[in-house]
Amino acid sequence: MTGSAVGFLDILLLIAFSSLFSLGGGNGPLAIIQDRWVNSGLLEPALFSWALALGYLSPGPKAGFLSAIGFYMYGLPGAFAAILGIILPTLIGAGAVSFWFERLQPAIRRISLPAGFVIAGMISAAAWNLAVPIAPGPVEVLAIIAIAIWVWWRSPEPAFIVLGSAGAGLMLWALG
Amino acid sequence: MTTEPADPTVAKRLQPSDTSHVPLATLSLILFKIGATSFGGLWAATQKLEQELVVKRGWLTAADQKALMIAATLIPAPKFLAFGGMVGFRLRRWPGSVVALFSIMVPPALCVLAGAIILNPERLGGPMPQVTHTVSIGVIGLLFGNALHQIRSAQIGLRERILGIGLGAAVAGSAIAGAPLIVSALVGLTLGVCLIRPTEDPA
Repeated sequence: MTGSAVGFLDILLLIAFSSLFSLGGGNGPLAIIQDRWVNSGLLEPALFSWALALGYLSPGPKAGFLSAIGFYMYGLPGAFAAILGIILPTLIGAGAVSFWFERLQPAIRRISLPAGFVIAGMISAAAWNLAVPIAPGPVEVLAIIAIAIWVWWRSPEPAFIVLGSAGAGLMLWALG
Repeated sequence: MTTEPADPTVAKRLQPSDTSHVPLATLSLILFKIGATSFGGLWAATQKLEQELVVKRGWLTAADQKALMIAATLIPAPKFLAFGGMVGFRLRRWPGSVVALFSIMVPPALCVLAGAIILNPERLGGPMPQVTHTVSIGVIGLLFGNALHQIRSAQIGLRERILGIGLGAAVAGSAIAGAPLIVSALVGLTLGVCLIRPTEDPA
């Protein structure tokens, strides 16, 4: 768990803002969280990874990982703030698109194309910054490359990768 | 990234329908069930959604569902969540959207929260440090893979693709070098809007 430097409103606002980088299905919020809270030392990289892993293992929208992030930052109120933070902009977006679909679609389509590449860059930076404190060895770097190629090529269910990684960890621990 | 052309029939299908008889409690229950039993994101859940919303309940037609799924990609929010919000809005306007969003979000949020409380790597000893480490390796691979997948899924020409990859690399490079990520992203987005244009449809 991390410090109380971040409060309910901070969590709500950052998550709400970060949802803007979900355009076209990209997971921009994780990059924003990584940048604002993990890089600044407010949230431990291991807890951030753990929250993501739990999100991949859970049913429903992957945004569920935000509840763990909020919890690590500010306890149960933080978890609620994080969920509220992702729901509010979605609510506004759902209403706006329902009413003004025809008017909004060309503009959003225009932004969506470059947004995909920008979000890819943001996610790459998040992955890089997550890897730095872990300092992976050569075998682990190869594992990261192999997983990245597999995901890019075959789009496997992320839960399998998380479960496989956890299983590998258990085996390594058992082998001493 | 969506490249769907503007379609006036989609716009009609997004308008609130005359289904105000749908009780909010039922809407909540069905979306909670969908949230609790769907794995793999919005596209993987298509059949389950159709079964619940089109076949069993008759709240939407198959075409309505497709229109809502297309529109959900336009909302800057997780697609699955956006879809739920739009279904709620179509059935019961704002109250329906609020109920739908919370109902679809509660199952994953509770699962993750329970995992975070019970399996806290800071408190548990034993294999947890090793498991956390290998899971982190897996998550890093997943993130890089997702970034590559995001680039691959763009339906644009070669020139735009090369520009986009350069843009993404510049955003990543500047953020890794220490520039504020949000500034890098906004500058990248502005440049991208100027440089990367949708491929014209032959029709």
